[in-house]
Amino acid sequence: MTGLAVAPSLVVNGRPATLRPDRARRLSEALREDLGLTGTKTGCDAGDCGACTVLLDGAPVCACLTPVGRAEGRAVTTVEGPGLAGLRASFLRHGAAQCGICTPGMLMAAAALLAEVPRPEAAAVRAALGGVLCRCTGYGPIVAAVVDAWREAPPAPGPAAGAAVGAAVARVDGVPRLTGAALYGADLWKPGGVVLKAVRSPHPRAAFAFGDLAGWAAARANVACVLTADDIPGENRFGAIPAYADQPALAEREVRHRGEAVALVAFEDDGSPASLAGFPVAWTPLPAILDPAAAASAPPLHPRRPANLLVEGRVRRGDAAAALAVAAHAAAGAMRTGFVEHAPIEPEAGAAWMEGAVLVIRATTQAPVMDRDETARILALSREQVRIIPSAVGGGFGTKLDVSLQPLLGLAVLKLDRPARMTFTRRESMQATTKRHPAAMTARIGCDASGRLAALEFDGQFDTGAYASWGPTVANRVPVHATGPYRIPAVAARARAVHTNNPVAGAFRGFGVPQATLLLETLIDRLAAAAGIDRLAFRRLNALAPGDATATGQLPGAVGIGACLAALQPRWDRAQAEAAAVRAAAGPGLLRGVGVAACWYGCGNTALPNPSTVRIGLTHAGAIVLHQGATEIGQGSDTVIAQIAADALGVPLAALALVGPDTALTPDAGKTSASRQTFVTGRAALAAARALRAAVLRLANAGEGATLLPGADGLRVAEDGRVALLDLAGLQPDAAGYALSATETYDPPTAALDADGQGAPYAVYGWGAQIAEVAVDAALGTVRVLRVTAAHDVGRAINPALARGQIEGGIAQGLGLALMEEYLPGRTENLHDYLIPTTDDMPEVEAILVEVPDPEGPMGAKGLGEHALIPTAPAILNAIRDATGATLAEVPVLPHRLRAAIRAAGGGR
Amino acid sequence: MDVMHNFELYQPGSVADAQAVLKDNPDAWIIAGGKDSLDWFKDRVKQPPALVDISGIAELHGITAQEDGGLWIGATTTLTEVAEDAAVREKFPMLAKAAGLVASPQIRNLATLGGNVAQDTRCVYYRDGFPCYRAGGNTCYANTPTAMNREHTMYEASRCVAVTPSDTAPALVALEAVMVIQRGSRQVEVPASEFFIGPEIDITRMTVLERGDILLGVKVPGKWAGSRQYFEKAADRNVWDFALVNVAMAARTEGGKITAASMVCGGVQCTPRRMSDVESLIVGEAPGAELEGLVKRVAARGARPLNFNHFKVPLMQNLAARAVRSLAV
Repeated sequence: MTGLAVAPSLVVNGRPATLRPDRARRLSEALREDLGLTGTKTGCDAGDCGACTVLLDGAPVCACLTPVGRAEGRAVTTVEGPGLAGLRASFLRHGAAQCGICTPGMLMAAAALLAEVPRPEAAAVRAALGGVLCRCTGYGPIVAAVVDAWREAPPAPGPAAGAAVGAAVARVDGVPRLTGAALYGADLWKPGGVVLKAVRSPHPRAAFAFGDLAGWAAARANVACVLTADDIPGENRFGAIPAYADQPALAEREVRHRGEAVALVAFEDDGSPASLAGFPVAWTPLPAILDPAAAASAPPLHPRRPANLLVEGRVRRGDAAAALAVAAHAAAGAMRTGFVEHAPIEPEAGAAWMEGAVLVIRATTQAPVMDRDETARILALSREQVRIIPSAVGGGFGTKLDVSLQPLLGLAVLKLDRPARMTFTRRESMQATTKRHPAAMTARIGCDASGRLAALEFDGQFDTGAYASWGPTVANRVPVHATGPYRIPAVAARARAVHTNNPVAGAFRGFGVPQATLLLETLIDRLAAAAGIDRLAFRRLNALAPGDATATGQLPGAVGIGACLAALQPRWDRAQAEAAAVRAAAGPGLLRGVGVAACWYGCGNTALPNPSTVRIGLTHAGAIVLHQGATEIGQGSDTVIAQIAADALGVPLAALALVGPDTALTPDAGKTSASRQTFVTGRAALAAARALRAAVLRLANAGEGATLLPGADGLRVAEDGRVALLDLAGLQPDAAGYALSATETYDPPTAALDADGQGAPYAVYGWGAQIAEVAVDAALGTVRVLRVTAAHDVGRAINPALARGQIEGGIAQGLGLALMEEYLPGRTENLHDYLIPTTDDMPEVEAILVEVPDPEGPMGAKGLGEHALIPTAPAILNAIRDATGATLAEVPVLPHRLRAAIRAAGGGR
Repeated sequence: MDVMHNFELYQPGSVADAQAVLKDNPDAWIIAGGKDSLDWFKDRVKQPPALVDISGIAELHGITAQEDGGLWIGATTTLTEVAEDAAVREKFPMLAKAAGLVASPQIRNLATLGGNVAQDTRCVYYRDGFPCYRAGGNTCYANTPTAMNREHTMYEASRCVAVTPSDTAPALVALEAVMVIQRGSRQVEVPASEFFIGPEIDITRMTVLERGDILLGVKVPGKWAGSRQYFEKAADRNVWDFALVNVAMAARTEGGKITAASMVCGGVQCTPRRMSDVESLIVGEAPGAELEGLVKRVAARGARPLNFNHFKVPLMQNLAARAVRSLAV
């Protein structure tokens, strides 16, 4: 028998390695902490996500469920190991890594397959990758990359000057995400510091009192300190929207939701167990509001928010009730949705330390400047004393827009004057961070005898949970989008964000619009049926056209919905015919259906300023440096904004050195949310690049048609056959330290909404429509989505490959919303009870990029990130109804709900 | 970084060594694949002081042919090995299918057949550390008017309403497998149908395994080798999900009629549920729409659904009917 105290020896990536003599530790932890191989990612510590997949003697296993003693004498291969070059190149080619957090697991699972089957079929790839979850890509590009990995393709040459926009260039940040070198929140820490653990409420609402904190800490050799709200030097309050900031970094006296932190324990970062066992806190559970319908009559959670109403948003145009009363056809219905968890595979994680008088926080985030401002306020520091450097971000989707561990890290660093790190467990991440708002909605919609939409009434109640977060945004955005991309002359739309003691609902891809669209688009199918019009034809008849006003009275600059629906027509005809043929041939039981749904989405904040600033500098050596603070969360902003800047400057993309984001080095490019970065930061980059180009041309005394030629020895300007090296050495450094630089700000022009929601809330809208084809197993209540065809108007596809990546990934999240995702506090706080789509749940996806340029967008471009998931879920529900006749009024459509709906529709047992 | 509690990991090389460790450490916990176990330890719901990793014991691993035409499958044989083994696929395809539908490829590469049959229930309240009956308390949190119990039992509830989560267990019961257990100096053979126990027998465990016992392996007798077999699992997600309901059937047909049948359903009771009513109904009959209709009428007889799992009744009926339908082709 192997002795206990012997340090396990194994071979890691071909080299002998000895680990600490604790044979029961997780292999993932040992690889990361003992050997510094942080390419192996920890997403769940439970074998649910597969991000930590490594090869053990060639077989893929979850390193988090492998005790190191198990690996004794065996060969372990990680993402840092040899033999992955071909796979990596294929992943880069196919855009298979977005945020990159699942990529190491994907690569290792794929490598094991390829070792046995060098040229696998897609089905074999899907099966082999079945245990690795990806939240970004929708899996399609990953499967394609593995299928294609055998092919040796020379690296594609970068686009020429002026040809970056429109080219499907590989992402500029791609390589480190494929080698394990990219440093995510949990991968970077300073030695000699502390590890932080939060003490969290097990109750949705409770008063609490601490016992002998000092005694508890003193009795534990590895506890450096215990921190509570009393230790917070500044204003113990944060919130995405300053006017509504109401969330404490550590709760005071009372907790308002399960998972709320009340204390922070700093443990020595020496590998000793960071156990909160016996922490002296006494809870007194208090009556909690768990049902938003009961919130109005319950005591308010927050002062000055009577009836627990956070915000009510309205849009009112014409007399909807009167128009409905005389409508030739009408449909009315309700829809309920549950909490949806963002489930980025990277939980919240980060590290912090002091550099001189500056607190440096390196953590996963979507909004570094907001993190800086909120952390400074909580810690009573000036903005200059806080520097936020986002780590590589392993998925966000909205949940990393709110500060989470940043103030906690800062608090510990300030108290102890030592570095600190913190990583949320999966359970913590699920309990403590925001969710998609559950919605309970009703609507009535009517049309005239010819099928033209006449009126819509919409009322939605959104459970915003214990704190404001982005609740006001949801309440204001939903009524504006309630009509969908349709011409409806009379509208009465209302959305209320209501406080409960449920999880905090915040920003999640679409800000409430996906929920509202589920109801609208399912009602439109019913209305089309009542009017006797084909469902796609009905939508085309009513689609907004150039010159049509929206329900807020705005004339959008470019309207692409007609083009999107037109692009779907041949696919719709084919899908309808195919489904009819299958129905005719198949026996009872397996049912086929086709559905369609459309969307629109305003890019940027709703009628509020949201500027971005970009700086481009030319060094005295002639190098071009792009400072852009937009946070890359996998969507591709690093690449897209560089493409825009390169073309506007007139230099090859490869000539740009990229800096940022870093609040000390990059101007504020706002948050990565609301599908705004390509549009807003892209416009700022366009302006800055044009301004720098003009300055360079002035200096060279050259005309607008001159060519910039960056080279290793400096920047040349060519005009009329003459080439001159710019003499920059003699220039005084400007305020930014450059020979020349340009800093430009862009803020989308919007007009505030009045009491009836009339105004111009967004400067640019994106448009889209999708067809879903499904097979329903009525006997078991299960649904398989066979194909999704998505047409999205992006104005101008700056990078078609990245745009398709957003669409495929959005569809995966839309499918999850429709069929399986439902967060239940206390019940689904892990990634096997909370289900997100796996490789085998995903349909074949065809993404069609429609380009109706918007005069306001950079080179005509519009946002896309959120739009992509909005039509998916309603298209799936419409397809299920087409297949079964079942009207679904609640998602996710799990087997029990589908069975019940089929029975209600008169279907057999 | 989730920190597990400190425990000692023993890695014996023989059954005798393992028994010696277990004797010295009465509270030790046996792991093989460790899939279910490490999940339990993570949130410190259970904290055994020592683990005995039996995965290195050669005699517990592997698949060998038996004289009666059946197979011996060692307890630490991985689910991947069971799913891919040529003899299992030929003789007992439903067991191969069931093993191949468990969790994910990475899990199946380490998870063992023994672990899959011995794993604990998935009841979220129990797993979450609620002081329920099964955990030694005096309440069932899953059987209250508002409890989330769509995944719970319809049969034989006795205080506890948890169900068996295993995919291979119904297959083994249907194949009339025999579990071989080392108990002290004796080897005890227990039919799979008696290996799994419900709360009325012992609410704190799911099998007859006692402290100190080591499951050595499974004898799958030749009786059903090469018979017509069927396994299907209904779940919320296509991959990496526990069954809502699954069904396993072995049958023989002759001259268009069913001559013998063994059908077991998982996910509906604390133990795999033998569908005796269906078996006796279909033997002697010809598969077809009429028989399927009758099967649906009897398949879920006696079910007592909880508030939120009524949908399991038609699932059970339809899966049973599908199994019978598979005999028609």
